[in-house]
Amino acid sequence: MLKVLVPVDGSSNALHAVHHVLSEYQRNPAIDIHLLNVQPPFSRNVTRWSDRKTINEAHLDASEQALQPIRQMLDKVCVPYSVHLAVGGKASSIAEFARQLRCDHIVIGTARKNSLMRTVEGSVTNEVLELTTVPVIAVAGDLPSTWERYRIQLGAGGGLAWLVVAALE
Amino acid sequence: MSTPATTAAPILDADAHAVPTGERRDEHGRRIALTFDSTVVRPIAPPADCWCVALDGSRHSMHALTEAMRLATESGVRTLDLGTVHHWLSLEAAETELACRGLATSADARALLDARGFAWRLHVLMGEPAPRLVDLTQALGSRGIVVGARGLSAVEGLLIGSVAQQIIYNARGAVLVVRAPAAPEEKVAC
Repeated sequence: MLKVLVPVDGSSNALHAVHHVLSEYQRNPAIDIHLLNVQPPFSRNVTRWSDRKTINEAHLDASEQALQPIRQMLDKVCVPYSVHLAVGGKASSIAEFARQLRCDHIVIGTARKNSLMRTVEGSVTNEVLELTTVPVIAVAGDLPSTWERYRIQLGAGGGLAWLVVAALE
Repeated sequence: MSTPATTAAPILDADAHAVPTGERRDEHGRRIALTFDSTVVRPIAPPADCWCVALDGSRHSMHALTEAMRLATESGVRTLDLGTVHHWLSLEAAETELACRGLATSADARALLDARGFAWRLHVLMGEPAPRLVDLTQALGSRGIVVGARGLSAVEGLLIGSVAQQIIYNARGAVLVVRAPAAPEEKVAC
């Protein structure tokens, strides 16, 4: 039986990953699905003034909210799954859970960004690929908008233009 | 997908008589794509049920093939599509060289598949690896692409060029990225 870890963060890209797992499940129902939601830790300013129970509840609420559409989708087609919650860095938590659960694959939805955007903005998929040797099935999501695609180049161009104008003055 | 191996595998005797089952030419009449089918193991499942493995003759791509075989076995479809992409060749060279290079690059992979009782379809293409492989899987309607990776960081991938990363962000479907554990000599070379 294949054991797959599916990181979900409530984004549309995560839905693409779950769609892929469902299509694989229809071909072969011998798949053990583990959903993982990773919540970022609160800052020290928050943790200093809040008790552990309140912080845990806040993490659980945020996690439930992110998992809800995926749970509904899987429950609707009666596909069994397990849910895990982690607090910490996204990529490191995903790699650690894949190792702990001894998953065969990580199925991750990913934004359709170009190399420059991924390098500047960071990419969880790239980080996961760097951190783990567990095979990763990446399912690319929707195309970014024109503004998202060119904002880095436009920003760099604008900065250069400003420098040229400043130098001429 | 890693850098192609510098030493090509020797062409097997059987390959010398291999006849392509499909061929595509550009507007100049140059061979740009060839397809070979396995003869040892039959029948061959339709492409929509199969994963397509990107091959370049490296140990990373062989590692990816092993994972693809496991995935195929789990789903009960013992057929794999193999894709190998080569640099552009002239009109005359492409007539013979494209098939030779494709068969040489995939020799180990095909031998392994034959030995394990897997059917295969080999697609030999010419051009840029990432876009050609994405186009191939889209045309075939494959379940996804399986590609080996060297485990480059985002910056290394941007500077050196990672075929795996290019495929992930351009493919329409799923891309299985298989990272082989780094060999000690590779770490020294970096």
